[in-house]
Amino acid sequence: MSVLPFPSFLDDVKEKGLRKAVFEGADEVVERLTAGLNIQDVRDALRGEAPTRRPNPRLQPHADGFWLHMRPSYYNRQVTGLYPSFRLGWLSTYFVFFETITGIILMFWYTPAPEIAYGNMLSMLNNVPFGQFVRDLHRLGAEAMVLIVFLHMLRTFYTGSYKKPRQFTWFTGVLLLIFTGFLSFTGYLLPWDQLALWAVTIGASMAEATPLIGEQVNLLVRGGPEMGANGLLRFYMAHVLLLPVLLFVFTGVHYYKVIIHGHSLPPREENPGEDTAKRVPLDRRVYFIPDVLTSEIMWFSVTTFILVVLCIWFYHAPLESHADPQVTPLGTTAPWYFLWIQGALKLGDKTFWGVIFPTILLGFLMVVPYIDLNPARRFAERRLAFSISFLMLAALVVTSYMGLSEFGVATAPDQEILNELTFEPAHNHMGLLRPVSFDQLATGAFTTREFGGGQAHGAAGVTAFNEMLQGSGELDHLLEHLATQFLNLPTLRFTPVPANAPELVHVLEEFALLLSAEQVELLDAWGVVIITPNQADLKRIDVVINWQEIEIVDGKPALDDSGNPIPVFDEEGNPLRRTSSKHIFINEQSGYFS
Amino acid sequence: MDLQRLLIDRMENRILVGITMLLASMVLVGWVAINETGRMASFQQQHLARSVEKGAELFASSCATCHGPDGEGSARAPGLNNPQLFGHDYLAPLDSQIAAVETGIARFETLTATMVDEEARAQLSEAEFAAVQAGLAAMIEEYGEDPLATLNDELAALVTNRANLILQMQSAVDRGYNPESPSRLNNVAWGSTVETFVLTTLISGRPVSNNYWPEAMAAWSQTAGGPLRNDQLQDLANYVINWGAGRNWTLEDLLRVQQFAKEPVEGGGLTVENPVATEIINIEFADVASRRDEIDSIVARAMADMAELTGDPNNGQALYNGTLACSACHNLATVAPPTEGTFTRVTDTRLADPALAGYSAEHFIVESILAPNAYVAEGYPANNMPQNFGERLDAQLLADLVAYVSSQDGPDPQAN
Repeated sequence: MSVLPFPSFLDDVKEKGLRKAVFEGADEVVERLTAGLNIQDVRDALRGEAPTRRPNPRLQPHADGFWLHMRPSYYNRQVTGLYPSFRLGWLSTYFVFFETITGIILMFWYTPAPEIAYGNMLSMLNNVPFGQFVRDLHRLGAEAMVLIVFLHMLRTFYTGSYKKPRQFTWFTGVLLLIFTGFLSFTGYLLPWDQLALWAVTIGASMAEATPLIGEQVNLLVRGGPEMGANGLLRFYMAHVLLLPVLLFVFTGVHYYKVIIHGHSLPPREENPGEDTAKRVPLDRRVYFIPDVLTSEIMWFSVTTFILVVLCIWFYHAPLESHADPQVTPLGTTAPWYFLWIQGALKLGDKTFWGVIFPTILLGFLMVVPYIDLNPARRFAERRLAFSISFLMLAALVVTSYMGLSEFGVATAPDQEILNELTFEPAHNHMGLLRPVSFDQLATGAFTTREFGGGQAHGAAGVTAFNEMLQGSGELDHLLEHLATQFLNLPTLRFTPVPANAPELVHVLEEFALLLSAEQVELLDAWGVVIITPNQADLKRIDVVINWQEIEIVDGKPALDDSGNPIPVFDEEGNPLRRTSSKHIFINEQSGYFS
Repeated sequence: MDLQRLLIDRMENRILVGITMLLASMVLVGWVAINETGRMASFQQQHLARSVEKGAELFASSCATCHGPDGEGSARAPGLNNPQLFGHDYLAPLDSQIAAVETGIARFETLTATMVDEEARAQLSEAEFAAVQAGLAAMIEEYGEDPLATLNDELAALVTNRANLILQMQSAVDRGYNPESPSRLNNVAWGSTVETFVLTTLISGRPVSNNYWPEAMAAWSQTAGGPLRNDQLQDLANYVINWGAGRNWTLEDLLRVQQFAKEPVEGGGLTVENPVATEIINIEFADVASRRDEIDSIVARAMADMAELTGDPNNGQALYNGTLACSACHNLATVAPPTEGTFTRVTDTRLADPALAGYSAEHFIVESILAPNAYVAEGYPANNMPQNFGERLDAQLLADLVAYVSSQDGPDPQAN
């Protein structure tokens, strides 16, 4: 007998021998962990053999275990393939967990305070092993999740799976789409860089337009009139607590409803009004263990692999300069999934297009199954519903395009060109001058007249330009202008771009092309690039555009009878010329050109 | 569909694909891990470089006006593109050579002394004596017949070079540079790095002082009420430090500096020969009644000393606003009554208080300076004003101060 008051493993060994005791012990552990399958059952299942015991042990985990209690024990063969689900619902769930896990990891390195947040991002990138990788995964997952959830909704619509009795499932699905959008949106602000601040400022400006209580809603969302410490904290709390809780609860409700009503079959399998999902004939049953389970594990591996590959070679989460409420970057847009609202805003009234219209649209989406009472699920019998959906999709694409800064935002052409040449890396692009390698940034003053725009080109163009500047007094104006930009030069002499700086030549050629493309508004324009040394590994680049002012009527150039712009002259009859400029500093180690 | 049949319908393929992808992901993550150190380092470098660019922009727009466009300083502010800030010592190479020659001289003198001194010689073992001889022989080998003369010549030449080098720096010396004490950080006993020195100066600015800069530097940090965020200050500091990064400072660099930092003058405060009250009167407000006699005798003595003197209100003002910094508290009426209208307040309000019956205005002012707790105006905290002015002022300075305070006879802003 055992020295212990209960039978022990040693007693087993004495009684049955070591080999048998170990085997039986292991078998019992496996059976308890799987809530019903012993080692032999697992082997059978993975070999694709029929269960050898009765009752079927593969149903036990569904009945007794927690993890599978909500999963059906068998599926209809019609819904386990790629069609009709395209795995979109499963993928959405995958991303819920994927984002939760990567997000919790990121939380260890993040503090939601304006003075600290951006520094946290930097240390994540330069001091935390895997910091960039996990951030990339989280950000890519977030963008992918919005897309996947949206596609899931489209699929559900086109296969008519929202119809009776699944109306409420659809309703919770639309809620989940909204939560996903807001989760992504609130996360957008957290890096506290320029991209974050301005995308969210635009997105959140809708709050202000809420009828009657706009001011209160705005204060509630931003925690103040402007986005600041309170706003950041609110977005953070919404991002890590409020919205995830809602998302998890409604994911539970949504999935529960999916199981209660069964996965809807492809439309062709059923007659209109029929719902046979719950009655799966014996010959069509695909059991969760082992078929669906192994399939899900495979999809898990494949999706994770794809995300890992994308985040190593193809995608890096953007991080721009520190957020600065004083500096509005040119071409600011809301995140892409809110572009449609930004586009709609350009149609007119902010309250209607920014708040009422999206609310009506989402409200309409939620009640679609209660309005669309046509029981048919096959494509041919749902022409009206399909037509409406295509119209809405088209409208979505058009309004999203309208939301881009390229559409309907008037920026002065000189500002556009200066920006095009100098802008900081954003959305993985940067101003043309930045990637020029440091040794090709030759110290000196260069003009677009070398590459077109005047009578002479090449070295002669430069000489003519120097003479023109001297003769017209423009040189003094230029020097005065540069002094206002804190660049004090005694004089300036333009030279041709050195032959060993082909990248700089290329930029000046582009500059000349940009100017000539705007030759109506920027009449008789010239541009110059002045490169001055600042520190041993630092150069200053000034870009200046000078043009003849023309008459502008209603934001468009006024044209004379022969279609030419009308120059403006001052009181003494001299042409009125205008100057605008921008300057940047380039450090040898900045890596724009790598 | 082939994919469907091959992948999804056949379990062995599902398992194979799943395991392969999982292993592949793990290999890739391992690959990320291997490259992580390099990636972080290069990001760090790139970020620092871009930070310098932003700092350059801020410097050009906010700092260049006073510190000069190239950071070489102007009459208004010291140079930052300046070997002094980075502690470059031009004399160091010569100094170490001089030290080496001096060591040689000392060694030669010790050796010859040992040879000459019979007693010392007697105490040496044979081996030690041989070592002394060998040492002398080696020095003669190296420096010729008369090593002392050679070494002294070398020393003289080096000292001349050193003096010449200092002469070459003369124009910098005229602008406040001290070649013997070339490190700004050492001069102000800064215990940390140049970076933190620049950063803290940016955050808190620099006060004005007669012994220091006539022009104040603003506090640039938002923390201290200035316009810039901390990350911008860091950009600026990175830019300033970039002037010194790996730099081989030349004499021209030094001579280009337009202005050197001034060091605060030691003992810049007051030194008085005959303080009005040698004993510091430290009397808690609660003890005033019991120590009234003490206060009265000190005040009476001070008044007697002042009786023959005429106060200079201009000097009093300098004391009030500068050296003694009375105005630091006596300004906004939050911690102490405001300066403006003080005298009117004393004559019209304070002396009307029965507790001060029989006081003259001068008596009250002197008492308030020397023993501030003797009478604490309503609405202000007691035990707040320093009680050591008796030790810091002599009768003349006290008279000056009283003269200045008495000149504040305009309307009292607190009268209503």
